Amino acid sequence: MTLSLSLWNWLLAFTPVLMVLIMMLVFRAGGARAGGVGWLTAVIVSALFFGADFELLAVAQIRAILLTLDVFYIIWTALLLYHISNEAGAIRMIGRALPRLTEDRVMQSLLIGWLMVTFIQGTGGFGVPVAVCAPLLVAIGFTPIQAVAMASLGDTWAVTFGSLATSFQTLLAVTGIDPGGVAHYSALLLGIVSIPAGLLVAVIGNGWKSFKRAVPPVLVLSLVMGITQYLLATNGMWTLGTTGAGIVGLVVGFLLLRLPVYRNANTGPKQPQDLTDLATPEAGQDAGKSIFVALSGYALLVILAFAVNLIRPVGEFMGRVRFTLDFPEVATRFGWVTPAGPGRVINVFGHPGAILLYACVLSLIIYRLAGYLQPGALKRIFNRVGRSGVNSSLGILAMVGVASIMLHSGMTFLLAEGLSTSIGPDFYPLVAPLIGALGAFITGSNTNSNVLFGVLQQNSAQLMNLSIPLILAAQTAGGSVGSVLAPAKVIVGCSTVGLAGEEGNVMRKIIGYGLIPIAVVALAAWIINLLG
Amino acid sequence: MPQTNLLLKKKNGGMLKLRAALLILQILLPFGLYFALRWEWGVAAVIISVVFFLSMIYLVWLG
Repeated sequence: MTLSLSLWNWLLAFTPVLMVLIMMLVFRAGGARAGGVGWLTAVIVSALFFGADFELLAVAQIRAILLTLDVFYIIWTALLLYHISNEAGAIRMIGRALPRLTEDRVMQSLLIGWLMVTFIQGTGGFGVPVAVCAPLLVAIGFTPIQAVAMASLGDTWAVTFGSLATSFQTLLAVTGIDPGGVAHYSALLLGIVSIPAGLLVAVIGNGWKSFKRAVPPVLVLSLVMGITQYLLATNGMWTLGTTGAGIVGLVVGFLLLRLPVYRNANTGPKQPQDLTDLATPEAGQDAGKSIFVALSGYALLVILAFAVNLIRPVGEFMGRVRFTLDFPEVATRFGWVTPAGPGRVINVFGHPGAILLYACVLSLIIYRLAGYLQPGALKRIFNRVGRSGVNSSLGILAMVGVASIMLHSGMTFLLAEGLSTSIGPDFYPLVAPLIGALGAFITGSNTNSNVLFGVLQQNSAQLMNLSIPLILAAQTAGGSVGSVLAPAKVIVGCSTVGLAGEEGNVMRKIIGYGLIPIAVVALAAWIINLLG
Repeated sequence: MPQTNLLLKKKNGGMLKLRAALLILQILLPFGLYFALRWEWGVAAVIISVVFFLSMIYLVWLG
């Protein structure tokens, strides 16, 4: 007995995602409530219509918890580092320093919401760039909703080759394809997406009136970052694709600030009035502090991330202790099988969360020795981390549960199969990025989307006689965009700017703008296919 | 007015503790379920699953 692909079954498979979207976009519910509704829907639909039994649902939820802990490790430590740095005055000092470097709001938006996000995505993962940069954008006067939307959209182009190209390597592993062609098309498509990503950051922060002003720097920066990423990716150094692009982008960005046109206040949109106090020299509690010492937490994070990821003996030493659980094979009544094997493996001491934790401990010591922490600082830090972390974690736990149940009951595969079989070869390149984006939107991860749909896309391209590297590149580029629009990631961003429980409002803004880069990937893939 | 703020602060603190307890419960229960299934304690597995399901309904209600 197999589950046939029909419109009814496809709609049923889409129900949990639809419920999450309706709760967040229509009822403006927070991530926890929307995730809970999605989870209950997924359990009921998978049991009633997809043949999921008790054991399958149990295995799906236990596997989901392992994945959730992996994500929590990053979120809680990112929150901790942020609140430690905030307590030491780092965020306020950036808020004062950046307007002195350039009073042009468009350039400020691009520097933090796009270039810095890209750089951090190079080594960070699961929402870290947004969690780190959104508060910095708030510190220089953008609203929390704008800040999360800017950092998220600025990240759309950077995910595939970010986190040391985990998503890309996963795509290569599951499809067994030669990397050359996929690297070429992926870097090309993502380089094209960097243009709308940069423009959207400027527009969300400063309105459509800033569009014209943003075009020249965005084109220059997209070009240099896109070329850097392309050269690294196509020469076998894809693990450094986003990091290299981010570094070159920041260098060129700071060089652009030397041009009077991007430094003078009267040429850009005005600084908001409420930044007047922030911009006053050395305001009270931060008097006598050095911005370099205050930022040492983030500097340590970058140094430690490079050391663990790029120095092989260090990485091997840190990666000795790993935690996972083994699971039996489970199958639905309709024959959808999830093979036996280990769940998510958590690298206890070499995990990005562990690296964040080391940065937290070392920065606490530095701040304490430098006298940057006021009495009672630790208590305040832990209170704030707890307040923002608990709500977000409840939402993420439920959302990851939804993704896992859908995956184990074959619902996610049916969604992609429906899209791929209903489209002919002429238009399939338009749809391939949507499948990648859908997978990433549901699971919150470009890597997971590639695991889910990599082989499906490869088989579809083969059957339709399309370029397999192009379709796989469209899959991962779509996944890159879709992952930053995912509710699970939006919750992470919201948690650091005091928007916990208001994720629905942020989702409305992000999804509206997020459709633009997805459409750009789809059109680019379609045109490249037409050109042969 | 200060009394109202104090009450509000207490209420928020209480809600945070409740959510934190719910979070810990939802993290620990699946591990309990894992070992219940592994050691074939059927009744325990069902009880844990029911509690987890109810905790998710409570989460929706709590928001």
